[in-house]
Amino acid sequence: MEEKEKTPIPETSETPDTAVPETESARPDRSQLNAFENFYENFRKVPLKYIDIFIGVCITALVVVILIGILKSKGFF
Amino acid sequence: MEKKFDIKKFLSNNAIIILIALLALFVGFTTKNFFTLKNGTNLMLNVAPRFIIACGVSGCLITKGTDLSAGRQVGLAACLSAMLLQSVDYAARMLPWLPNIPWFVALLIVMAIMACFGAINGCIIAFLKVPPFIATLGMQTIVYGLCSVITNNQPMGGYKESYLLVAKGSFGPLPFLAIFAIIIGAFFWFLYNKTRHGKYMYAIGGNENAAQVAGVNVTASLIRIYILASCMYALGGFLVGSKAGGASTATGNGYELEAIAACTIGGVSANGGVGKVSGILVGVLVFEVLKICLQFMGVDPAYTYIAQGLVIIIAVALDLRKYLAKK
Repeated sequence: MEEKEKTPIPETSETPDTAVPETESARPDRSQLNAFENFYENFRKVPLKYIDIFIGVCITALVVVILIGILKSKGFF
Repeated sequence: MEKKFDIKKFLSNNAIIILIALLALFVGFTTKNFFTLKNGTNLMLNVAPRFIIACGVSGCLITKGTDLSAGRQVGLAACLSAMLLQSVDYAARMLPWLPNIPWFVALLIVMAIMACFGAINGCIIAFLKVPPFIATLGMQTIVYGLCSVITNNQPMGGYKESYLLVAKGSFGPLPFLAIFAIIIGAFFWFLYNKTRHGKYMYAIGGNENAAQVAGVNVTASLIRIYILASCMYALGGFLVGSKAGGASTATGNGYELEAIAACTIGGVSANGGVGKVSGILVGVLVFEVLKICLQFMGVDPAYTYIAQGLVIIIAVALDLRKYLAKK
């Protein structure tokens, strides 16, 4: 059984294929990535500062939505 | 060498948790009955089935997958449980020929049926290499259709007392549902941290090709993960049905997104290879505390959905930030 599990070991011909893009460019081979990684790779060049600003905006929006929700339920508008 | 505490990193890693904790404190001190045993019990009852479902989804997420059929599978499990556990003297019984069976036998039957759906999901993803997003989206629709067929789109009720007691009963201050969640949490902690299956799972999530080359049976591991996930949806559906006292095709709708969001909030990266059971619990707690806080503050229900959506966006943005910071 153990041997059966280890049968993929000789099939290392895939390794050079996956390693090629790493050497050619700093960008990973996008066909090897899952949907989320592919999505995240779109933001590779976006500075962290902008992501922080986006998170800050979302948190502010969350607070505003809660406040509006409270005011609406109290009949202010 | 002492590691310096980086407050900025801590804040960015736990932004949502801190935000919700502050919100809970604010609500607790400005409204009545928030910090009460009854509210705590209510929170536990809401968290327990969702935590079990999130544990199931977490395995898929850690291996760079996802399971969009989770909610519908929960609904089907709830409907199957309802069919098996309706009171024998209930007039509108779905299966009048069925003998009286104990709830744990019904649970095992439901888990076995749902495991088949998990196996199909796993086989499609592992053998046919269909992206999990697509495979489970298809399964979501199939399961919903099956659920509509077997129930004739009729809501079901009239459960036996022993089934209702699963949700209503408690051991001291601890509801039975919470005990289920604790057992499942301990099981998953052991599975993820102390077994070969857990190591394989993180290895696949980290780098599937490397894991395969290292001797991990990726196909078998993926199938096991999706079967286990479906078993958890079965248990979740069983508990949701017991808690609600009824089930219909609408049961469990949207639970998959809540579970995925809770996992993301709790640090299970959508990029795979990362995630802890404690994090999943925190993620589910954050989501449920947010809902309760909004209810206590009297927020209009429509705005509650907007707030939940924003929390999910923030969770994904934080995960993206972590991913970019690592590069």
